[in-house]
Amino acid sequence: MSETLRVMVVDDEPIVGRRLRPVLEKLGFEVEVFEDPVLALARFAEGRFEIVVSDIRMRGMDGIALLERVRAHAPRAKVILITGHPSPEVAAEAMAKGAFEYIAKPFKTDALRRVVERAALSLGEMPPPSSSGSSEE
Amino acid sequence: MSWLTRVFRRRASGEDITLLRLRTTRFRQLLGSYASLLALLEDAADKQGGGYILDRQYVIALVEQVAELADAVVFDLNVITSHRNLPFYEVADGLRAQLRAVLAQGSGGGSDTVSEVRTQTAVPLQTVSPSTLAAALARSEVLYRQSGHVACRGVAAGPVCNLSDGRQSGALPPGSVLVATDVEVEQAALAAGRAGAILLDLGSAAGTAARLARELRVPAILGLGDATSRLATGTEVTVDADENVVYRGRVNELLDYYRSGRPGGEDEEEYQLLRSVREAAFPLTVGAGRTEPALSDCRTVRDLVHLAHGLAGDALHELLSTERGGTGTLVRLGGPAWCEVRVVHLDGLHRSDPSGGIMPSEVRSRPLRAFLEGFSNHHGTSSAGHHGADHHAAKHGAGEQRMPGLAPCTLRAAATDEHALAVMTLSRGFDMLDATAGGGRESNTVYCRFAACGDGDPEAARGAVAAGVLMRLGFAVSVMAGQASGWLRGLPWAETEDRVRIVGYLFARLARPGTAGWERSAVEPDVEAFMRSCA
Repeated sequence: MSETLRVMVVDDEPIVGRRLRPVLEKLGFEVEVFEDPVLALARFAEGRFEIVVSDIRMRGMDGIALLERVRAHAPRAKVILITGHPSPEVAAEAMAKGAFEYIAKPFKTDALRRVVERAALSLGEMPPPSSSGSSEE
Repeated sequence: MSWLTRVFRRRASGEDITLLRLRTTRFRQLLGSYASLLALLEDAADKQGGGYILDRQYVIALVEQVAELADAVVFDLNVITSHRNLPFYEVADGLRAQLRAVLAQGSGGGSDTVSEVRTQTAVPLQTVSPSTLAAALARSEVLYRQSGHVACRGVAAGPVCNLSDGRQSGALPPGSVLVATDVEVEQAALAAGRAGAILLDLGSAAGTAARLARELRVPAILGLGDATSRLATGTEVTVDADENVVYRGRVNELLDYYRSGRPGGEDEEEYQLLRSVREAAFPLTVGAGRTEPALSDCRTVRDLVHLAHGLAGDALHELLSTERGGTGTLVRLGGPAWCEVRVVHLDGLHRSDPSGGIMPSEVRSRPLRAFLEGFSNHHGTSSAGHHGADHHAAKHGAGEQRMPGLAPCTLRAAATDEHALAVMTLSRGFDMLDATAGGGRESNTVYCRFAACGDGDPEAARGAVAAGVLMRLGFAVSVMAGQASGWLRGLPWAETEDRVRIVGYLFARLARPGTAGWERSAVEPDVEAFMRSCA
């Protein structure tokens, strides 16, 4: 990678940030975790984040609204939405509003890892080095 | 017989067939709900391992799904038994409330422990930057990635101790990485306390090794397939069971990263909650010698659903064993007539003359045909000098004589082309099969139930033998009060059919234990002998 990518994780369930941080840091990304979407959005405005992983149903602001605000501020940013209440309607709305991917919880860490790798590639970044060392793939 | 009597009997017979069709259909639904419950809880066990990211919502949804399935089982039981079990509804409601209370306690209780863990990990002792970590992982050789199932999260490194070399688990050097095909209960208990990590060729998230690994917090990846052949004793490996990856050598940066800032694994509140819900709904340890609970004894969803399914089976047995279940078409098995087999085809009569009987191969129902082929195979090769029953003789009834010294039994079946329900009445209880050949592999199902005891079998060895065989065949098995029940689904029809055939063979074998009778100490050899005879 030319420069370390920065990833923001937003979920009001603390376990999600705690579990995603090591997954993403092992890929070499700088990671910041937020439980409050309003604080996350304020931080997004002042920082440089290329990828956002956000829950949809949260207190204070839902993930679709966060997606719209992020995309308005940084159209190039990739937003990956996750939800424990999956539905085709919400998935369609998320994708129509520019979400990079939509994932239903519970999900395997590897599933998220692959989506974030694809997001990094679509940003024109090289795939993170740790994903290419498998003799099993 | 007057014409009026004939008309009346025909009409009564039609009503009986309708009743039988409705009840067998309802019983299939009940078994489907029970099987879905088992699948749901196995899936929850898999998620308990930590390979998934889940939240409270998942646990809440699990509780509601479990309660819904229990309700469905209770509803079906009442339809089958003409609403003779209405108090089950009240108990189901109580258990739903109990599970919701577990959720409520989980949101408050235990939080001190969780916050303590978080506080402990909030101040890293040493930092490893993501770029340093990622570079170290990129340099490391990956031996396995996403190849098995995570049974317990965590990261550990050490030299491999491969038990397939003939080593005993008791001699495992502390901190080494245990590698084995699978481990028995005693081995797992010994090894898990000393091992730094566990890698197994076989095993499932709901198995013994997985449970022990979780209890002792030993990182474990199961179902790797070839770990014993690939990892020699002494090979240094790093197991990252958070990511389901195994690296060759010691990845110090990864170990330092986890030492410095890793949150508390299964101590996380959501995992504690999931564990509590699983234990409340479906306790992991149910002793084979436990007595069948009465409704007032039902403390868990497992107790309730199991009791309900047992009573529903009893009602179906009663219906099929009486005239209301229809007399059906005689099936000629060949050889001596130690068991009378009759089939009611719910979609109409068989093409052959029902009064003359039909051969198993002429049975229209696919699952019943497979079952009877297995059943009659034993018949044709059984003891007492009746080996190799002649097809022609069987077809025409030659040799159909009662064998002296054997208690006669009856086998009754109700079937459609794609479904079969069969019950075999014995001197002490009954055995039951319910099998469906569905449109796809997910709808291919087999359920069977075996009476606990045979004659002269005070230790319920008969049920234990049945359970042992069913486990070897890949069934999910439940043993309560010595009675064995097994479920199987999701296999292609050819494989399902093979198992139905073997179950038919098992019915016949267990109905006639031979002169030696039943002995608890002989269960394992009996299971081995049976499996050998199937080969």
